[in-house]
Amino acid sequence: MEGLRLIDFRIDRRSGVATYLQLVNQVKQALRLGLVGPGDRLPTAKDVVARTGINPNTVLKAYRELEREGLVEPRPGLGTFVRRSLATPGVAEDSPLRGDLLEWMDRARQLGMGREDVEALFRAVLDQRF
Amino acid sequence: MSDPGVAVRAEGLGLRRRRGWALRDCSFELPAGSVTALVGANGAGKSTLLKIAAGLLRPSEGAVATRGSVGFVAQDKPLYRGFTVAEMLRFGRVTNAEDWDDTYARQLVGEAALPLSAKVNRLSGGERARLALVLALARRPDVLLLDEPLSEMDPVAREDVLRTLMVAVAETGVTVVLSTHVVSDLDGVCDHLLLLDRGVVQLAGEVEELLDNHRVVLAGRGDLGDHQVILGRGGEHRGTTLVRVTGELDVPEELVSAPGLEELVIAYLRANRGVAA
Amino acid sequence: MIWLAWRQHRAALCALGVYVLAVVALMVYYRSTMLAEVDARHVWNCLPDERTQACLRNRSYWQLWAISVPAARNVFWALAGYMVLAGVFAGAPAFGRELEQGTHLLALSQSVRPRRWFFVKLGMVAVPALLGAVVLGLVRAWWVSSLGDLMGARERFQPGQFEVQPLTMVGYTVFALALGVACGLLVRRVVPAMALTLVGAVGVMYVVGRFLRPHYRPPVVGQFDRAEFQTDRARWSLRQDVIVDLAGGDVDGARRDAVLRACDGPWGSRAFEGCLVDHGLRLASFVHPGHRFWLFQGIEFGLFALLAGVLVAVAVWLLRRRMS
Repeated sequence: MEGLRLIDFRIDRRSGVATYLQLVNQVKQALRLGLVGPGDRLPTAKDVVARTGINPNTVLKAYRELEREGLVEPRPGLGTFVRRSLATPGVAEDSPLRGDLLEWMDRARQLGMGREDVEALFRAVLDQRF
Repeated sequence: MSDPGVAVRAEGLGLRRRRGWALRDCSFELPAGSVTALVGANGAGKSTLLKIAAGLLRPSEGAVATRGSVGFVAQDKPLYRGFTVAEMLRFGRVTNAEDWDDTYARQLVGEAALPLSAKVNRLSGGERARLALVLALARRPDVLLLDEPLSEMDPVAREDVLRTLMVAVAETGVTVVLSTHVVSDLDGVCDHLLLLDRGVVQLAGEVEELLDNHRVVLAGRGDLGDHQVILGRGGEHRGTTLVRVTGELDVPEELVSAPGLEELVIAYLRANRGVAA
Repeated sequence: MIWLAWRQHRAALCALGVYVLAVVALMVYYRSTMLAEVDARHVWNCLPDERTQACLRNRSYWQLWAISVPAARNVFWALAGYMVLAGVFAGAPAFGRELEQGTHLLALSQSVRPRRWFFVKLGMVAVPALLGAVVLGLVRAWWVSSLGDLMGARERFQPGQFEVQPLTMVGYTVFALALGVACGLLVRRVVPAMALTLVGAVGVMYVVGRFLRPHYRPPVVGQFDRAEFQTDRARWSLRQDVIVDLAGGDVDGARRDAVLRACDGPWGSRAFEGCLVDHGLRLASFVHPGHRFWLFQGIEFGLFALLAGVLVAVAVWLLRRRMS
């Protein structure tokens, strides 16, 4: 139930990205953001299917992929549980880095920059540094 | 069936009709718990294949074996028009005896919000399809065969039907085969593909694997060496080509992309027709 | 399964039931009004035998007889109609509708076996329809027997009475039903199947009555004035008082014309007959004696039951063929 509330899978059938990869990416995203952490149970295949209408085999395949990467582990009869977190201290809701970024964004807005301008600038700097 | 992982196995299946073969030399295996899209143009033999697998038609040659009980929803979802929803459930109960799970049937009818006292001919197309699906599911089949379950259905009904079906797959592990001639309906729903064209299996296998084995290349067929060209549009050294990859492609990476399911299916259907549009 | 068959066919069966009740009511009405008339006209003595001298001269009796003729005719058509309608409205849609709407695919993909499905449905249609036929036949017999000669109780061998006896009613009805079932499976459309059943049932009944029934047994050939023929009022006369050769064979037109020119005197007179014999000819009648009635009923019933059996076998074969 915990996982179900925190990970709300959204499938975009037209994206061209394989459905199971979309699931994998969304779980990783949730792990990165710290929305789910070690010990949390992922939604069961049935829960995901009931919400998204996708093939349960796809859900199982995504979970197998996450298991292969060592992120989750199945516990027979109980479900699939998160093994390790991908969250780094910087991305948590109350981290100072996040506060800095918020501040920076507010300034950009005051300067009259639009979403696309911010995105372009952010991406340019991101590419420069990473 | 010897291999417990196989739910449906066809071997050399053929059906001869007065005007020729409706189905010929069909051999394939579908693993238990898989959801297969049976794709092909109208008249490709999809309904024939499903009816044979459901035991409603006898093949002229070969055989199809299914593991466990088989549920079938025919094209146009036939139901008794004058019956109410409750009477259709009673139909299921009396024609299936102990194979019928009445609790499950009522649960599914409730989820579909079908009023028990409504007459079948007052239901919408989508509601009728869901009722037909309920009748098939409540028998708790091991293999469920659905002939064009989504045709003439609005997007909401389509999503509801697929969701019901997928939940059933998740709950019971039922093996599903759905036929369609609109491939995009089933993108993301199916994990296996069975492509029929004029009674012959053109392509069969796991969707991801099939997509992995094929590439769309921005080059002519002359540039592709030993790879099997499925369909080329354009000339010998330019154009778009769909190839079945058998090793490394000797083509710059930026010219290569993965095909979508629909693209793949259409390429095979076109190729077989000898029409390079 | 029985519930399903009933649910599917209850409308047609109820309609047939209403039809039976209406015709039964009509016969009860005819019977009671005719008995009241017999009472009012004091003609009870003519019911056992209307050919007594007293009755032959009783105008009141013969007036009543003239009134009873249309009643008998109405009931004949109502009963003949029932048999055909059973085939058209209960037999033809039984499987024709399933095939037209594709619901046979629904039924046959359940756990129930095709054979059981077929025969339960067939039984659900046939048993009540045959019961209706028996009721109609028996009520008619009860009406006729209570009025004796007035209703032609002795003339049950005649066409128009022979067909609506309980046994033949059952035979015709089972045949019409089987024909309807086979037509439904053959043409896979309700309305065309009904039309085909109507034409087929009426056609076969007509052909059998007109061309086959007279030959179930060779007719007895005899002279017209033989006492036996005169007294056997239950007989079925095929041809009466016709010119044949001495062996009983037919005579060609030219020879007959020649003899008719040569022989004088009223037809059937002693002089006329004597003249015929001089020319090697005689007058004769072709008759099935009344004691053959049950034999003929049995043959006719057997024939239609056999046809029905063949049609059901054809229907089963058609159903199997639809599945291959």
